[in-house]
Amino acid sequence: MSTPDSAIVLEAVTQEIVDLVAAELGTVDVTADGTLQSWGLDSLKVMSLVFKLEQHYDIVLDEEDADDLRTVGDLAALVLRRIEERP
Amino acid sequence: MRGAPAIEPKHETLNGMLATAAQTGESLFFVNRKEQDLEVPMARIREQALSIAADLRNRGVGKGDRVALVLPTCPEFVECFFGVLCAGAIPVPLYPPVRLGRLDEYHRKTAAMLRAVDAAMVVTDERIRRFLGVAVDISAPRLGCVTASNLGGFNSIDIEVATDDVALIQFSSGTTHDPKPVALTHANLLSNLAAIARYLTDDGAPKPVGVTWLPLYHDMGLIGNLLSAFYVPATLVLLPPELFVAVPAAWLRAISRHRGTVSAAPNFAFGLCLDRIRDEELEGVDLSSWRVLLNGAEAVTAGVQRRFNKRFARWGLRPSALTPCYGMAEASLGVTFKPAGTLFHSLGVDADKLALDGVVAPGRKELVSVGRPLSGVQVEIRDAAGMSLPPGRVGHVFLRGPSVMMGYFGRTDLTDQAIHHGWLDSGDLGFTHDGELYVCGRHKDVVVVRGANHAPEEFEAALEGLAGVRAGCAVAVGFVPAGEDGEALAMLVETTTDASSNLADEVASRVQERTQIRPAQVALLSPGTLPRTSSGKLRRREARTQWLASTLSPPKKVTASRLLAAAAHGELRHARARLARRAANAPSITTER
Repeated sequence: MSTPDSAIVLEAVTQEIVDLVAAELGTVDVTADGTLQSWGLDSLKVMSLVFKLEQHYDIVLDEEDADDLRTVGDLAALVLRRIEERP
Repeated sequence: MRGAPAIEPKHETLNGMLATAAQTGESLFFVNRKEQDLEVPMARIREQALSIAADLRNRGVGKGDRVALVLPTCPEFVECFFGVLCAGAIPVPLYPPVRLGRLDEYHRKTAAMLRAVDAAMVVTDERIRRFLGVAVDISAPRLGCVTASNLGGFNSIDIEVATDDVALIQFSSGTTHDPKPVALTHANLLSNLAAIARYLTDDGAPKPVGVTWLPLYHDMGLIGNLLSAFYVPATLVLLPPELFVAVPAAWLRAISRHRGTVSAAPNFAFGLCLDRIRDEELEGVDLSSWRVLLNGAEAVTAGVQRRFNKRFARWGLRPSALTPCYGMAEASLGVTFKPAGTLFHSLGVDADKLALDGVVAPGRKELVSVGRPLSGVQVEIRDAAGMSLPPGRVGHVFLRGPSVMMGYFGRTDLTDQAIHHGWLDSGDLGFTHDGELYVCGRHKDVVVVRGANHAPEEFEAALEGLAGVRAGCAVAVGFVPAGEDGEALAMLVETTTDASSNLADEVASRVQERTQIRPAQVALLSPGTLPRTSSGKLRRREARTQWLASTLSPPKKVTASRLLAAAAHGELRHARARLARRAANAPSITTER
């Protein structure tokens, strides 16, 4: 995660997720360090977002993944971790 | 108000229904996340069910044992559901954990439901099993937790059951700690299925083809779609709920692809389709086969239905397809449906007269008719004293008929509260007009968000320990925000003097974090504002009424002279008790803001 390449990948994934979250919410001012809750991302939108992330990146997000999830940046880091774990 | 006479069901038990359906060559189609169909013949479902039944017996499941099913929409759900029935046991579908959801709350709820039915076994899949450990530990089912893929074998069995045996336990509302297990017999379910099948196949309608994305742990998906497909028997196409939520167009594409004739959804789903489906996603889609689109499980609104009709007419949707309906888990499922083949209609009423006098008078508030009782169902509107009311008068909606539950499982206390001399108190308020039912409110404390019933206690408990909120002094109520179609959550919260300036946000975030539902409004109130009973219990409905009417106001200052006046009215004891309780809760009782 410390190589320049991985930083670029994280940035790209973060931007994609920012776009996905913004699409769920119908607003544009979503930022990487904003907390997911502050925009009113309710259960239905979370379900939709999880589905799209799993489809898009071919990963599985689990219930226990929610523990340290606060910001869009956290979510991007989680997605990247799952991508790296892909068999 | 009563429907046509009850129809004698074609079968005595669901086991018999399955055996017949297996002879027909009908199939279920499971749509995966990429919208590819997997066909599973009903004959194959039965074959699997019988071998699962034999295995369950072998593992120690006995007649009448409760077996919980925690599975997503998949062939295994259906095979295990019938497998439990063929083993002579009772399936209890429970909802799987939500991705990225909070597990502690899930553990508590699941454990409470397992305990409420004294489950002998839990059947799940490999993925979910990892998240059930805590709930299984707490509730300790006698035969443990097994995965569906491990069930089955070379033997098969179909245990004989009776029509009055319990065939299903479903959870409707109730609180996290005290869930309400609705026990339905084979006869209850089959009478409702017979009435629904008659509705769908009457008047020379073509053979039904069902399409559903509703979760199978919900009565509308399980009974209305899945079991009714086996009753008719007819093709059923099943989509995972999360596919619909993320890609609503997948629902309409499945209807088009399979020439679907019947589907069902709560009101919110219609708005979701309008907001999220882009025209280009429906290229080549043809909805002209769609005859019945049931809208139920939450309040039905006229505006969203009209917009839905207008928008999708281009793809062949017929306006008469929209079918508002009314039902509840305690009555198996369906109670009233719009008369088949007609356009849905609404009534403009005077909102004030309706709320204050309980009288229907012409006005601007639009209420949608939820139709007429199904065969075998009786609906009566009663006043608070239990007297029957004439058409045009608002009262409690009571129901009677062969599909009404035998009771809450193991809970005669709850059953006695709900059923009076065979009549079920729906908890809803409504009136009849021109032989049709209109639902206009409820007298039970429940918040309905997107078709799911939530006990207000769950939202209120989420605020425990939040700084700035007076302990135990908050109520959760449902309301329809201005310009919206669906019900939303509002939190009415009494604050302490040290409340921070962004407490409303903190309340909203806390409730969302704990319950996954974000309040649409948070009202911060001075201590003592919320109306209470003489014993100090919060009165939610009164609080809601006052809040909506903007008449919630802080209490008058407690003074010696007021206390004397109270004493003069012989209320000194009550006042003392009240003061003691309040003092224990908040030392700031005499503070006025």
